[in-house]
Amino acid sequence: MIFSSFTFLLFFLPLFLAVYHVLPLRLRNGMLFLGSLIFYAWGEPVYVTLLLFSTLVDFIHGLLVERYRGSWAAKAALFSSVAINLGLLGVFKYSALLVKTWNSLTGGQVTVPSLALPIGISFYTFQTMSYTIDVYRGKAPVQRNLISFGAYVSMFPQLIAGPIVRYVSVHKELDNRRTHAAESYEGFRRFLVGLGKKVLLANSFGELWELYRGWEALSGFGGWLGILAFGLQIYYDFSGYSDMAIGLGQILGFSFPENFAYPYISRSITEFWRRWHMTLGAWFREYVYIPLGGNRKGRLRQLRNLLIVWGLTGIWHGASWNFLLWGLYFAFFLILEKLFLGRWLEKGPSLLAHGYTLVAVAFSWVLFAFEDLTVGLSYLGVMLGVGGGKAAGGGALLWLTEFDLYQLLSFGPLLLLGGLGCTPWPARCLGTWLHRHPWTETLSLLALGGACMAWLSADSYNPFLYFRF
Amino acid sequence: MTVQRIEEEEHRKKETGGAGKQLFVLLGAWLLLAFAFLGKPERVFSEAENRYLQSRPKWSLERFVRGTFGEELETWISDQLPGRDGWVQGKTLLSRALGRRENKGIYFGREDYLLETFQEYDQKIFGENLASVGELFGLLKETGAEGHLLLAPTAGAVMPTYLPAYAPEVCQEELFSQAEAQVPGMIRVEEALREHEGEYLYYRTDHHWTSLGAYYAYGAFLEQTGREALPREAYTEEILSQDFYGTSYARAGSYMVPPDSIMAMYLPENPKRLTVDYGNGQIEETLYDRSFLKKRDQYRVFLKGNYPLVIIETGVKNGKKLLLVKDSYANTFVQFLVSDYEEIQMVDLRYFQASLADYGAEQGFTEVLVLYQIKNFVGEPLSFL
Repeated sequence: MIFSSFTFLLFFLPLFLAVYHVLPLRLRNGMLFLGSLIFYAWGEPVYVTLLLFSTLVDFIHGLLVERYRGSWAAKAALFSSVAINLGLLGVFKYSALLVKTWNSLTGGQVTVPSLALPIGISFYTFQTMSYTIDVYRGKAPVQRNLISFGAYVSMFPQLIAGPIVRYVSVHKELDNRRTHAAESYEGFRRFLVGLGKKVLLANSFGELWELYRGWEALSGFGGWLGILAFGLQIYYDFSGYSDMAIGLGQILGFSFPENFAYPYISRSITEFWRRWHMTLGAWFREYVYIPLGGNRKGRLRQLRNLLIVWGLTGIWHGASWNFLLWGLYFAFFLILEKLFLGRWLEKGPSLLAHGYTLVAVAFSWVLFAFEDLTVGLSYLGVMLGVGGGKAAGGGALLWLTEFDLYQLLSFGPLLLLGGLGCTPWPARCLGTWLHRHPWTETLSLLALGGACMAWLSADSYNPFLYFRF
Repeated sequence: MTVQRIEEEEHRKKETGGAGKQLFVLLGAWLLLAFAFLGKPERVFSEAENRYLQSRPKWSLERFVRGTFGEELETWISDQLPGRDGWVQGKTLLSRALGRRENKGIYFGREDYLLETFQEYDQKIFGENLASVGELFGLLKETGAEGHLLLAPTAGAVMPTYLPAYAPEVCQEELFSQAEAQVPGMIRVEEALREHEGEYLYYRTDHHWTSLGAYYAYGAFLEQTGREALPREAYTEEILSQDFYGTSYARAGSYMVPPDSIMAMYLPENPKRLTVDYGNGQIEETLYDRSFLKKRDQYRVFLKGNYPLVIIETGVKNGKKLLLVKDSYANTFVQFLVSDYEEIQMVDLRYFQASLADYGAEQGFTEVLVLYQIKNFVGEPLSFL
């Protein structure tokens, strides 16, 4: 089930919340577990077993680590857990890519496994791993209640599109949480804002991007407009999902970590990644970068560590080599910024720093959006004025076509709104003002919800972007 | 929590006594919508969208595992949503307010015109379809039939000033020229129509041309085949309907657009001597079936819509026999043709099972006219043989 569906909004969520809040506190984890399994089974009726398997594995490993703390067996249990989780990812997410690559490199004829990717597997395997590791490190207490642990792993608000919630950050609330009207209201507000970002903005930008991604007569301007649309789509989609998750968490009494903090206002790539998909960055920092030695073992080791972390971050986003390249592309800029560029950017005019960041990110989206590298590179070529759309006047380079003007006029107001929403200003000004006028706020939220309903009922374009994650 | 935030929180509590009431209103509105489902009778057909709606999905474990149940449930909720038409129109209203210029392949044009978009086509399909028409003409020429191809322009090409600025439309002029170069007997009608831009040539809420539009195209057809059409005044113009909402209206999810009117045009003496044989036992003595005026798709008042083979005996005694291979654009065009031929056989290739070349050779036609709207003609591979 996805959040931006009627099944979720009008059936699942009201029913679930009603039952959840009627139940006594001690039964709520059970309800959350059960509800989450139904939520997941809706889209993945078969793979729900995999989710249960992963839950059981880490529950048992956590107990083993605790039981044999201090001895070699605890370490063995930790390795076993990590191996099983990565094994699941390897089989279900990466096996097809590896076999295909092997075949093309060696001319082999190994049958490519045709396993559908279980939705959310990259999120929940990372969460369960973090649990066992933190228990091993003594940072988190062991969970002895299978239901509570199951509720943590399968928790539907963040199950399929994040944020990645580490066990340490919610274990207290897992066993002891209360809900208040003010918190719940705030949660609903956050949820509706996220829904609006997804349904009204992200989906519209998605439509614009779809117009350009395969457009034969692509012009230079069109290339930039298209990738701008993609950048806005993925930002509003992903941060909208995170908002919805955080809001739902609040309604249930959890406080999930923030996942986005206006990434497009960054002044360097380093800053961008502190603001974009923050929980993923934090996960890799905590469980890969620092254990590898981070920046404490000399510059060379640090560079190696950066390459490893960003290669992994890249390939985490999908089983295709363009994602690896996408990650390494960022590593390149991060290393440059560590070496000297960062200092230059700080000293230089901030306009330059913003421009550099946005352009670097725009190019990265080209790598991200096109799985086929040759298609991506030709798109990039058009953006840079090399090549040019083949259908537009027989290879002649066109900077701006009527098609672009038309789309620009048609999507102009939305693009302006979208651009404005990438900055903290709307939340700071409008949000604060509305906060002081509670009834205006409530009415605005109702209007926002109504607009989302209108968009969804007119069966507008409504894709789910995280099937690859 | 920052100091400012805490102060705000206190300020807010004083003002409203907590968020309880607001939460109540928010939840109330939401649950009202969810509950409105329970008492609502199921709608089978949507007049506004001109389509059947999803009925309550049937539960079975097998259907659930395959995902069909989930998909149908989602469609069911969306289709049966209380006040669905209002929601859909609300979306159109809002997205137009946000500057959007089209929805689902329909432009929001000037003066309440909803025009079909035509932004892309497949050159290969176009070329092959033209070649196929050329082949048919070649074969039928041997049996004495002269071939004509008439490709009707879309409303956007005839009335470009009604389109939104910079609408990225295919240049239909080029397509017609290519057709003219490739197929002998191509009839060009776009000029004849464009001369009358501003007249009621196309429906505002439907993608078809009106009887008047068809009349001007007919004039061009006669002129280019060495004949002359009767002046407009010779025809009786009868308004059949004034509350027609067509396919573009349904597709665009539109709102607040006045309805179209449908007009018939016929020579005073014509209706008396016609027979129309629909091939399924229905034989009528008129081109118009007024029962459709009470239904959604009123355009079907012309020859009941589309049938595989319709044979019209016009009562004109001139020995001319026309094979009309066509889409629905021809249904208004036939009103005029009945004065020029003794017999007209209309074939709709989508439903016609036999080989057209064989059938045409057997029947001994004196003329063949292939009449399609350009977008339909390039839309899919067609075989005219």
